[in-house]
Amino acid sequence: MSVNLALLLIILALSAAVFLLAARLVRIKKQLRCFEAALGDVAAGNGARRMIAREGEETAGPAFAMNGIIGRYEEELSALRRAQEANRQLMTSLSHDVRTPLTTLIGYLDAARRADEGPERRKTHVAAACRKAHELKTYIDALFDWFKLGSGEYALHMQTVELAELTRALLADWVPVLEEQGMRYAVDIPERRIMVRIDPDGYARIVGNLLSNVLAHSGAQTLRVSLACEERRVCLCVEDDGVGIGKEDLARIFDRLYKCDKARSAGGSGLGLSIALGIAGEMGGTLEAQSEPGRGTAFMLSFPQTQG
Amino acid sequence: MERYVIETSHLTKQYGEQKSVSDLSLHVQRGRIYGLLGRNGAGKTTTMKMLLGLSAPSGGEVRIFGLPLAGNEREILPRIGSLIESPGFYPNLTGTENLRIFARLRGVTKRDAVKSALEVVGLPYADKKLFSQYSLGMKQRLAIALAIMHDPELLILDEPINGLDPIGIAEIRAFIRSLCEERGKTILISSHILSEVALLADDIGIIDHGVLLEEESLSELEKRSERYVRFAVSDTAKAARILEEIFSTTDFVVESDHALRLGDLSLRTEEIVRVFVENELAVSEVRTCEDSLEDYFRRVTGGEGIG
Repeated sequence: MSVNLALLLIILALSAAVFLLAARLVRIKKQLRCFEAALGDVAAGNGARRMIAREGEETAGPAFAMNGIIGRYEEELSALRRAQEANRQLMTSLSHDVRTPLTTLIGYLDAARRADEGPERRKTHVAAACRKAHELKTYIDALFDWFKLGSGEYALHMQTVELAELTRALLADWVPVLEEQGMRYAVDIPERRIMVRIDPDGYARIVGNLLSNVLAHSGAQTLRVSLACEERRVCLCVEDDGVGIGKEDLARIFDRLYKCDKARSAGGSGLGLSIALGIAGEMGGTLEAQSEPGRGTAFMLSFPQTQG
Repeated sequence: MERYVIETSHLTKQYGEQKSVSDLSLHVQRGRIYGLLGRNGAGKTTTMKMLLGLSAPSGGEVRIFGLPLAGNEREILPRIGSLIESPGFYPNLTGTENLRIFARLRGVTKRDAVKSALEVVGLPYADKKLFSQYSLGMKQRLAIALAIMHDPELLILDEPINGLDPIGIAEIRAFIRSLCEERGKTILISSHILSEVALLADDIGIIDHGVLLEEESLSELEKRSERYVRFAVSDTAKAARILEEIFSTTDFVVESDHALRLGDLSLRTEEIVRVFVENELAVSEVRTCEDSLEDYFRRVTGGEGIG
């Protein structure tokens, strides 16, 4: 009797074990089928799909590892998509920036070609068309430079120069323009020799951009340009007492194509500061801006000093 | 891959005589953030409940991931993370313990999923505070943690910023944006605050009294509500030259050979048209668009505004 009971118990125990193992197997098979469907979805391009498992299950290890891989793949795809979108937006705004002045230029030329135009008016129109064409060329040139900076192809000719004298010379060229526009100015450049390693043309370009921004956009009465040495660095500071730049705009002024509201109607490519920042970086320097709305703005361009 | 992650056709929910959602056809595209904008009681939550199978539609169909929801819930729902009203957390357990229960029930997609989710929403891991002692903001954060813990492809969030302070709102906004841009997720959020939706959504659906009044991308809506005067003329080159030479403005954009958008609203439109015509320019359309986005919504919802 007890043998039969023992046998029954053993059979029951074995059945239970087989049943549990079978249930486990069925569950794993079901999960694997789910995983296969999910991986098929990922292969079809859905990088956001994940495989779900409970921590501690047999399938958890491989599932989690694969989720990690899919996650990294999706991040790279997203970065690519964002870059493509940024490019698309760039192309659209570029088309506008070129099409509008070009259309106006055509308008001037059309007017100049009319038979009933007097010689004076014709001259005015041709002159205006010429001006527009030059503006467009300047814009396209700036665009090329900006692209070159972006792809590291911008050609710089680095030299060791004496910065104080170079800056004085540059400012001397700008004095007539400043005076013509009624801008009061103060120049504070030390008498000593300050040696740096830069591309003089690039430097001239950055300074030119900063100064023309002050003239065109700041609405300032006074401009102050100073050169200061601090530890191993030299800093050129261009300050104005104009309208200043709000905090939201300040964070974005170096973005390509970004123009504050006022600047948008005044023309200009929006690329100037972006190019200035790029050139400064290529020369091993930094360009920063500080501003207080209503009080003024200051741009700081700094380089490491070298031994002369 | 299907284009619409969520697609409803003629979705209706009727309570007795009243239709709280009526003939709603919603389209949420993959990888974008859809903002469902409507006043309190417009039908946003009712719609979302039907999308999650929490409430049965009286009419119409819900399709998610290209499949009808009805009959496919077991396949579809694990791929969705949601935040609707207040989730069923246990008040006598800590936040971590609550999340662990759901992790065991639902499964997760990586190790330490509970810890990561709490970290993302800024709640402490394995601390002693019970859920019943949580502030409103903490409860909301825990609900968000629950929604994202299993890394779902689709998130359905009903008023996610409810109860958060301004810093929390900015953090969650940045987080939701990154989920979409960096992780490719699709997100449906609802709100009654236009400014919040405008900061976050790629597409907007305006719902009022249970009806979807408008469904459009945010960029298209913003274009429609920019302030400008639009001219359709026979020769944009001549028009551009006239604007610059005679009216001394360059604040315009040439859209095509026949269309021009003038941003300088200080100029008198009648004056411009007169000069155009005097110069043998045919003007076929003059449209002044001065709506702000808010004005636009006010018009669309029949004058009562949002929020």
